[in-house]
Amino acid sequence: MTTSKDCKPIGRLDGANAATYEKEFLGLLVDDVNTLNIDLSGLDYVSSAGLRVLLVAAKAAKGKGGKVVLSSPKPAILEVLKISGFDKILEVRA
Amino acid sequence: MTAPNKLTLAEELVLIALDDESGSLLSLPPFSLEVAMAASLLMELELAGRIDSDEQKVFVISPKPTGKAILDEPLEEIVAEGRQLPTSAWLRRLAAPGPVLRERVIAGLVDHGVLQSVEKRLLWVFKTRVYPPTSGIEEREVKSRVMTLLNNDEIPDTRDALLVGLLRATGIMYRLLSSTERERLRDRIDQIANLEEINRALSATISELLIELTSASFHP
Repeated sequence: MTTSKDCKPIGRLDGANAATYEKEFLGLLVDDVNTLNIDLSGLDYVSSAGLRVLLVAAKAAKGKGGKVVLSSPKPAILEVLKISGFDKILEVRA
Repeated sequence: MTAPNKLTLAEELVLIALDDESGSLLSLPPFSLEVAMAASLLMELELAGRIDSDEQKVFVISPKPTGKAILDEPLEEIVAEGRQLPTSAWLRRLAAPGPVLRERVIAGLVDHGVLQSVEKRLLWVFKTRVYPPTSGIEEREVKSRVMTLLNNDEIPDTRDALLVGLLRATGIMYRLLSSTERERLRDRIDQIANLEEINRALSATISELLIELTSASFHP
């Protein structure tokens, strides 16, 4: 059974706030919640550290039988997701 | 002397780069191990939350020392630089001292009892030093972790993805695999390694250096 929660990071996702976002994402994956819908429409920039946070959340979700869904990234963010192959590992809904 | 609780990426790379039986470094493409060692420092600094990167640049998150000299020296250099240079520029710069970094990492592994330092003679005359593993446990654990990751479809954790990138870029990865495995696992290796910007920059930088070397040897 899939139970999901939504979240929406805003602005930048990088080394300056990666730990905060990681805590937030993992904090949502509790009890029977195993799927995270991350709305990326408010995100302007993602760095290597930011991408790692998405991967950590996806690994945790998969470990619970769920997944992370990334939706509505801006073109620059979508490009980064494609260059790094994240779109092959995670579900990305442009 | 006790083995450190958790090996650094540089230590794991060196362990796999040493031939199990002879304790000598594997013969690798020119510069590849030096540049990969430099990459391992940037990786550890990223994981320690001191720097971050994207396709264009490396930038400082916190100048606070980590307490490990081997990492704090490049961190100081990055902080002092002022300009935000791309990962490839830092790889070239940090690799410039050549084998010094590798020797430092090997010395640390000898101190911790993971490797032995043994003097050998080549042709009964020339002295050389080799570093066979003390027990081999650490190296086997690293190899086993990598092979398990390659042979499943799990999402890798960050350190493992970075290590796969180091092993790919140096060519060590393909020496761990049979020709059949190489063919079968090539896409998976690339999938894991390419997740990390620093891995992509590392492979590109080593390729560029090899092209420059080839070009220089044709046009001295």
